[in-house]
Amino acid sequence: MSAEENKELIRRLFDRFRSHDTSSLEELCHSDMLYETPEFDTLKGIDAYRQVFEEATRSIPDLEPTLEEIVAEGDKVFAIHRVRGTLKGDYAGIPPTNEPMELLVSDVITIRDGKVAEHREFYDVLTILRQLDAVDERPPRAAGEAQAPR
Amino acid sequence: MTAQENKELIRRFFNILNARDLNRLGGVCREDMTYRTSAGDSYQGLDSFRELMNESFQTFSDLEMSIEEMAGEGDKVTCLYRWSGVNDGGYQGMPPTNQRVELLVNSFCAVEDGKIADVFDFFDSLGFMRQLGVVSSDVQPGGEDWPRGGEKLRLYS
Repeated sequence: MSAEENKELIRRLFDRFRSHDTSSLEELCHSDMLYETPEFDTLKGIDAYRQVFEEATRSIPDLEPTLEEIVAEGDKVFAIHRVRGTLKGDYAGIPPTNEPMELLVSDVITIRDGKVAEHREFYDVLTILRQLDAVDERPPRAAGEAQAPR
Repeated sequence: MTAQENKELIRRFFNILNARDLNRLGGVCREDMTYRTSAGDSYQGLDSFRELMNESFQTFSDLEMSIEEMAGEGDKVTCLYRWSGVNDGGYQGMPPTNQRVELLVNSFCAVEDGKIADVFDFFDSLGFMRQLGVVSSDVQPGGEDWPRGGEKLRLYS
């Protein structure tokens, strides 16, 4: 498949995710595909891929991924996509904020025989935690700093 | 420039960085280049980027960045590179941890008039901090030290 065809495949994949329709991903992805994220390392199989997305929509019911950049060469597609939505459900035990969130995610996708064989995502998990208000970044009190008067 | 020439440019950029020959960066980067990370950091200008790299080499003296995958199209080059170094230098008052940090970074480069105009690096800074040892290795989903139930992860800025 040409670089253009590969890019079209990925655009179609993101269209499915945008409409939250993961029912027929087999049309676009191999059933033994590999999926890698910073949180889960490497997961095997299209069901795991689907499951992670479904979990994400439980945390962010109005989750909207939008492709922003796409570069393709040979059997690889590199992309950047922006995820937007509202943190309404918990995220791995962290309570929701009910506030909007936004995350830029980059993708390295390998295509084999016209379908996705591997999807690796690279993003900053700390940026998610910050938006969940789960990070305390205040510097420690310096040693010898005056105590408040009693 | 062709996609092939742009990819060659990025390879030269990495070679210059790995050789710590930062004075040669002007040959591959625009003076007004920008460097951004997925953690939200932003550096304006080649001087700023040089300073960042100097800091990185002081903090990780054996730092090496090696390209594993690459794609180029038009004036865009993307690459997946391995960043690896041992924290043997102090940073902003923090003592070295002597831990090796090794991670993959997905980099998006924009080329303008034959030089690098923008570099946008994507990586997990939480994973970086776990390896560095400034947060516990159990700070991950399902891990003991994951800030669940309203807890907060303590970082020192």
